[in-house]
Amino acid sequence: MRKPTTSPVRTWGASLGALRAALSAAVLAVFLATPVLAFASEELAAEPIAAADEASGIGLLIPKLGEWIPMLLGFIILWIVLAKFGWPAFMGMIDKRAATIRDSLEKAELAKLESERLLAEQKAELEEARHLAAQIVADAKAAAEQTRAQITTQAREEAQAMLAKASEAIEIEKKAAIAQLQSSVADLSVAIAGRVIGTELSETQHRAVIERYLAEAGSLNAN
Amino acid sequence: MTATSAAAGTKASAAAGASISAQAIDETLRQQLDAIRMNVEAREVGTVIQIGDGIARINGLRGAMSGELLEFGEEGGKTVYGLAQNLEEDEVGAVLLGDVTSIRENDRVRTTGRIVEVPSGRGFLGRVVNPLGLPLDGKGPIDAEGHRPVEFRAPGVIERQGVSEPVQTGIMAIDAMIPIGRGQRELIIGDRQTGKTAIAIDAIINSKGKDLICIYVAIGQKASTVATVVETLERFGALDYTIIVSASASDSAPLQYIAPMAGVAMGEFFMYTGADGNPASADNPGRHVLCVYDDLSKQAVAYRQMSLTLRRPPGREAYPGDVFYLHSRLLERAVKLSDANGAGSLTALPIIETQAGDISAYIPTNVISITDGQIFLQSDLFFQGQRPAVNVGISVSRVGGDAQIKAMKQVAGSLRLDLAAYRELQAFAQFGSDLDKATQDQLNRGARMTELLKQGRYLPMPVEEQIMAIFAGNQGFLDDLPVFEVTRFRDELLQYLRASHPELGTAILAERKLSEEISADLAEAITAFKAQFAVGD
Amino acid sequence: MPTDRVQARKASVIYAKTLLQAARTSDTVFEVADQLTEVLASFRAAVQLREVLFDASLDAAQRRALAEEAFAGFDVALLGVLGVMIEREDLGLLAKVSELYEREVEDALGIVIIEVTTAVALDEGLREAIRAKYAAQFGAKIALRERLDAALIGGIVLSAHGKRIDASIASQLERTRVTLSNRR
Repeated sequence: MRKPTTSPVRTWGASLGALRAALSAAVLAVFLATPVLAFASEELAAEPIAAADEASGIGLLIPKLGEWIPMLLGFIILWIVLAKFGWPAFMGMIDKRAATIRDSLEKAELAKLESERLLAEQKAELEEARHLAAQIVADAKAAAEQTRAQITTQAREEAQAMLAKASEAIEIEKKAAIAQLQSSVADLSVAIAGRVIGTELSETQHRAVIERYLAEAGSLNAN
Repeated sequence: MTATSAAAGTKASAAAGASISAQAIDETLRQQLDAIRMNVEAREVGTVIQIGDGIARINGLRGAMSGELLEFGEEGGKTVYGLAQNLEEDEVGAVLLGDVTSIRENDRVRTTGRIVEVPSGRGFLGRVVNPLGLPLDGKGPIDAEGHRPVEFRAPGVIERQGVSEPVQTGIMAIDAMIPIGRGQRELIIGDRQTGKTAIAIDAIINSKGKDLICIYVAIGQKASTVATVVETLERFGALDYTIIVSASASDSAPLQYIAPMAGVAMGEFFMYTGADGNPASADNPGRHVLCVYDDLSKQAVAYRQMSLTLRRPPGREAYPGDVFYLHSRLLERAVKLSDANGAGSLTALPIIETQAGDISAYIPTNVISITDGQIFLQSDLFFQGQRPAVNVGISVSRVGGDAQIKAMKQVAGSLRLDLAAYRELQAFAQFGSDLDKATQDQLNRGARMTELLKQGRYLPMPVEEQIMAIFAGNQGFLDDLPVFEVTRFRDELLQYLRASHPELGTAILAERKLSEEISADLAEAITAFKAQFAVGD
Repeated sequence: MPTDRVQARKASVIYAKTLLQAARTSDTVFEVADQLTEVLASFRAAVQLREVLFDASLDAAQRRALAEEAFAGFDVALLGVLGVMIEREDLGLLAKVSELYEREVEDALGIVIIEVTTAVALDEGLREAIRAKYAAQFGAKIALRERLDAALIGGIVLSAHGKRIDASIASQLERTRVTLSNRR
């Protein structure tokens, strides 16, 4: 994938070099031709005069040495000046442009690469997310199942505890009732017994009781 | 007397099993009548000279013992019990434990030869009783498995062993940095409304299923406060293994005075007897008990009142001279018994209320010096939103470190260092932000760790989750979170770990330490959670 | 304040001995003992009497007159001793004096006094039985101070030297009641 994209750049570079060579050749040719053209125009301009002076055919075309040397000089000076100042500026411009074009091409290339990488990454992430989602769903299911089981057992336990508490409460109530009954029966029976004994005991019986108790009584002197 | 009442107790339980019928009652009556014996032994009698302020001065009773139970009133009439306190040449000063108004001058007083005993046993679990063991919750009489003396000599050196098992309170700040061991005495101290009771209640709630019997002694509190505690414990299913001993503010000073001793006596019953009801021994392990005394300053006040009315000379802050001994002999009964004695334990969590944070008052200094460490609660922390408002800088536990599991020790060490550095730097932090990076990091870490320790009421955290949460903090997972998100992060992290990585918690509990492997797995799990944690604003 | 206590004891002994001497001359030893207990009981139970006798705004003669009025008909010797005690602000020693007096009586006569309370009056046979039983225990002659109290229903209550044996039917019934109602 990479090769076809790089090769145009390289061909472009090559063709740029070729263009440059061609351009410089053309300019050189123009320059070289210029004096000739200039002579030609001079000749054309001077023709009527020359024709009038010395109407020799070809001689009109050949520049005269006296004219040709300054021309050549001028040309050389122009050449030097151009070569010194004009040409580099021109070439610089061309280079710059080439570089810009190359850069943007490279950027485009990079962007493309980047986007492709991102695409791959996103695909991977998507895959992962899908995976994760599946897992979360599974987890949630498991957790829900667990919670459900927990709640069920808890509810069952609570119900059982409530039942136990209720029966305990009933037991407690029963106990309390028995205790109350017991105590009231005891109170009543003791009260009745007290009355009965108090009234029924004769003097001799009293004495007999005292005697019996006295016999059982412990020491008063012990510590 | 004891024999007959014990016999009567068994008969009553036998009767309770049967249905209520005339026959059952008849049978019970017959059995009980057979149990009655003639009592014609000589007993010492004295006469009440003076009565008032819940105390009685009695003429005679030369043979009375200090702390002996005295019986007031004619045998035919209502009997009120008292406690012999001042033994003088001709008279005895006694405090009354019952209805004071039914006693008059010239009433007879008899010695009983017993010191005050309280009934105890499994029947008491889930019940609210007064310091004499009588039910206050209207759920009927309680069958006692046995009786224990209220005043009991604490076990000596040979009968004890070092504290080695933890009492998990479920509160991170405490379990990590001020750990409490079974058999320890850890004071909870602070001003009013700083959450002292909440810590004790949390500890009781968190003891569910941990083979720990809890006794909550409420001294001089409003009856409504006690009712709230009972209701809370019931809601969290913690009442099933808890006895509440209540001597509320309306009870007499002597009752408030003996309440903590009665509570510890009930606890001692479980510690000194095995599950089969026989005395604990090497092959009949005693049980573990947690006793909360809420609070001992009120007991000291009740004792002061009692002593002043008994005309004992007042000392500092008008407390009697032996108020230190009162608390030291109570707290000395907290113990981890040696294996030969059944290896039971009794952990004491006394609570002391200070006035305006003054811990140099008489009672606070006394109790601080007696206990094996203290948990300081401060109201300014409380109002800053740091709840539980434990000041970890001045709270200590002198023996509890031995009782921590290794994993907790591993993470708690650096937590303690982080917080200490944070406290040190906090003062500088107020001068501005031109601090170097290391300092700022430390401040950051400290702020997050402090935040991490915040915990709601009645939300105890199992130890493995505490370890995982602190681990996350130690490893810097919290450092880039905003401070206000730390608790949410912690809660959601633990939820996530519970749901997705339950094996981590079980592994920590099984290995009891953070191995390389577990640490790596845990770090990975936290990273995974953090990736999906959305920071809100 | 040990010196205080020792002095109080000495003073009490003086009061008790004086009272005994006086009582022996008038041969009212046991009556005085009974009356002394009665004075003590009323002194403890009657707050007003106590307040009046300790009232510093009244002078000693007035208080003495009040006491004599309150305990009119009591033995002259006893009233005399009480008067002195009031004058010397020694009424707080009354309990001590009463106890010492009985001890002095027992020492002086070589007897032990046993208080016997019954629902019906004792007959000579029972008295003899009691004397015989306790003379052996105390190694001294036994004097009985008999009281009747119908509230006992039956049986006997004996007491001496701060010890008490309650073998009355009333207390037996009470014990029965407590056991039956299973109250602690």
